[in-house]
Amino acid sequence: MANVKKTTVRRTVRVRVLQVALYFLVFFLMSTASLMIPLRPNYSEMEGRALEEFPAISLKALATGSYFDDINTWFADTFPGRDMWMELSEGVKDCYGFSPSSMEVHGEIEDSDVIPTDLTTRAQETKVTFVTAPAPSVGTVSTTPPVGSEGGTSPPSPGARPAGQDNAQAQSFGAILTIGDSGFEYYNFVESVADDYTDVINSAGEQLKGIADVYDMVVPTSMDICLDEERREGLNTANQKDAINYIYSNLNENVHIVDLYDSLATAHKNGEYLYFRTDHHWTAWGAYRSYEQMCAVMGRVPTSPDHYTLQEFSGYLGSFYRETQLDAMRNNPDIVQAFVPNSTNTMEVTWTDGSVSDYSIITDVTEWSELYKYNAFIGGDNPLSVVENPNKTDGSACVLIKESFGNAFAPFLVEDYQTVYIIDYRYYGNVFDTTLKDFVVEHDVEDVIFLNNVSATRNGSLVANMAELVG
Amino acid sequence: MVFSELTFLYAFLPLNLLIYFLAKDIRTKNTVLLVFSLLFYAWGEPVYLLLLVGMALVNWYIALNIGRAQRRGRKTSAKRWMVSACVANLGSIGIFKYTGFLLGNLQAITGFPETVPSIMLPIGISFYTFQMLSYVVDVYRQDVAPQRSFRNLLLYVSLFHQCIAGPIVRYSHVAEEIMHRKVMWKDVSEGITRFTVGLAKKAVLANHCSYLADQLIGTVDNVSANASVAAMWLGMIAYTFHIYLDFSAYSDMAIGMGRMVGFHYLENFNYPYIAQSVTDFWRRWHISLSTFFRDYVYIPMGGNRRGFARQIFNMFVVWFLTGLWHGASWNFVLWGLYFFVFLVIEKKWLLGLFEKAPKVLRHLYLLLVVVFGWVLFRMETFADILTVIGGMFGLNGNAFIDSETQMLLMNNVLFFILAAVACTPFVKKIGAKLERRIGVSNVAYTMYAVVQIVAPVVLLLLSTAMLVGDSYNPFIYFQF
Repeated sequence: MANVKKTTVRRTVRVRVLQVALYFLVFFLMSTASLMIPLRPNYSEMEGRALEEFPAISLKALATGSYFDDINTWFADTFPGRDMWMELSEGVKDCYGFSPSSMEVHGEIEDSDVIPTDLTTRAQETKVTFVTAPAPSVGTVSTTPPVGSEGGTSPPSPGARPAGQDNAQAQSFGAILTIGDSGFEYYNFVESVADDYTDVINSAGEQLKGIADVYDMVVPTSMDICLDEERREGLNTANQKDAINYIYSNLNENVHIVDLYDSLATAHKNGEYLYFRTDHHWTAWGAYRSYEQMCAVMGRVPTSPDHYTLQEFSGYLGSFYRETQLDAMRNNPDIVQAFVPNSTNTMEVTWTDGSVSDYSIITDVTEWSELYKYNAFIGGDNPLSVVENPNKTDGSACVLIKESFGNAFAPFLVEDYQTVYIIDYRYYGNVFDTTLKDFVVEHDVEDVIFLNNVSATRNGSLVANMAELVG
Repeated sequence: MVFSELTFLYAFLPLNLLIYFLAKDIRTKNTVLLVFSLLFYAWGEPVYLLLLVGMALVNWYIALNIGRAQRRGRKTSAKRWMVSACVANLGSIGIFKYTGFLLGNLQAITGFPETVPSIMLPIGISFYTFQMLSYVVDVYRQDVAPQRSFRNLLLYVSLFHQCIAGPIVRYSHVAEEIMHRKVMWKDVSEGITRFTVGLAKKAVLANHCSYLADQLIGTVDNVSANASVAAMWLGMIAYTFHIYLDFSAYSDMAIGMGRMVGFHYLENFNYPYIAQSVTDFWRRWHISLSTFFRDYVYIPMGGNRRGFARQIFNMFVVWFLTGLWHGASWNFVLWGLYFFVFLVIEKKWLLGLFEKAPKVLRHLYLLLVVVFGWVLFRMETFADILTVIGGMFGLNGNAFIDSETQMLLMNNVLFFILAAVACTPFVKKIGAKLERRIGVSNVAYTMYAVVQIVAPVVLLLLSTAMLVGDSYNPFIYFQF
């Protein structure tokens, strides 16, 4: 008995000493590593964003304590090995349960307003019911010469990422539904913001009456186009068709509406690759189908895709992947297909810092990081880009007012106008203060095309930016 | 600063421990602790540090005077000093915590004043004020001698282990240890285990529970009126887990850090969710607070010694104050009185009945009372309280269950089980069983050794990953 007691004591002490020694070893090693400033990352590849910088000191920040909060944020945000820790934490969370039919929700779903459906619906003037272009198939081998050889800036270095995007505006993403390797963005209808949006578009129509034609295209997202209604039943996402109808019904006759919903839905049923699975954007094919609808409203014949050179960039992992880090997506990335205009592949870009230089309309992003392949289109989001078509001399001009959905769309305008002005309304105001009307008059523009994805119409700060441009 | 901040974990704490262990004598060690504690407080609230130090100075001075008056047999004088301490402490908490609430109510009734000033709540004021009150009252009752050294009293009040989130440590419990404490291997070892268990409870379990509750019923400021019945229930269950795991985690970490440097704080939680009655629950939940109200309010008011009616009145006062202590808002008062009602019913009728009732039934009753109690606790407006309670009973016209809730439940089913187990003494019991057998069984010894040595490190690294992962808040910032 005494022996047992002795053994117990001896063993307990041994375990305790070993426990304390090992714990403090790891604890102090971790602490030392975390205090080594050079070990700290300043950019996260995984999230595609610049990490927090050490806060600047000020008396006010010191007194209110916000300086210390900022240090805490910096300390956590730039923690050594953060991408590894994040992968570990995602891995742990994957063990919290099961995902039957591989469905998961990421992020917080916001409550939606009820969409008024008792409306006098405005029908689109003309509708394309035929499909003019051959349906694209995914994975066709491209034999085209590399793009960007025609003028443009120097080709990016391997693994490069776009410049000037780090200071991009922060916007709320809401929530994402994932099913297997595909993501879908939740949409909540916000009546007041939708009304503000129609006010802005109506105001543009009013101001430009007799000066230029105004077109409005509200783009649905993959949640509604790619998920059939049965699948959406019971999900807390608002019906985008109803929302877009509501918006269109409030636009007055000065604005030409371009209804994209049905044609995109039909094209999806035909098996076309209209939206990325790992990213919230549409593909160039989604943009092309919408371009066809716009041409129908304008009463012109759409330029066939044959007039373009198809370029493909495989291995794209977009925003949905970045948010969810799902293996299913990583194992099956998207392909970015881009149509290079034959007339020209050069545009003049005013960057967010105000500098101006030539850049490619379609950039070869083969060597770029897998997260940035959507930047193949028009060099990403910039205050103003201008394309001059050398094959046209009729003085025709249009302005496209867009957020990033417009990037895949813009190249299709190149063959149809002598000059295409592309304005990203979110950044335009940082560099320019000319209002839309003055811009249109000054550049003798005949068509003003608003192209906004439906999520932009629930985002007050975006609509406020738009209102600033319209004035 | 809070314990679950990486800055605390990997910069503040290691520096504190390192310098503390390098310090030779107890005086230097105490200086180290004091300097770090003041820094800890100032890290978030540089201005209110003055209030903390000022209040400590006032209480130190008053307690010395009480002691002096009592030595000289001047009872009235001692009492006068004690009353002045109560006025000072309650006055400070009244001004900084309840001004906005009082004036807001006054405004609602009389329309005066026109603007209600918004005073930022000094962090930890509810905890440290109660600690100082208990100190002065204990000195007055001659349960403990006044602390002659201001530095030592300030150390007791501001000690970062417990200053901002409890437990409410009584001065009498640590008076001896301030100048005389010894650290054994056993203390450090048990302190480490306790600290890392608390850390993991917070970083791994509580934070995710809070995320789930927000997902299911909306955030505190934005309660979801569209949530299905199942979402409301599941969300409240997640919140029920969250509030225990979060709060007890802070106490675990405080107790653990205390042990590492030789302080023995009393337990603050004793697995409250395994209780079988509300009476039992309140013996297990936030023990340092309920004993405070028992010893400094209930018993001085006569407790149960002045007849049943007076006892009920005393209980009413205690639970009104308990509610109000949790926050300057009516929902907290309602929450306190809600428990008062159940405690009275139990005292009068239920506890007698319960002796015959099956355990499962008693436990289920307690859990239901607690879950609905947390609805009152979480929702700050009556409208939101009605939304959630209505939603739980299917009165909001929403579906019984929606796809997201089904998905979320499946995605987190194992997590929910883990969280439930963490609310029970299950793991602790197995550990104790193993420990008893290490002298006789080599298998038990090996298992015990592996778990005991490896678990704290694993929990530390796991918590680090979760804290880094949570600092990444993907859905707030995004570029279209």
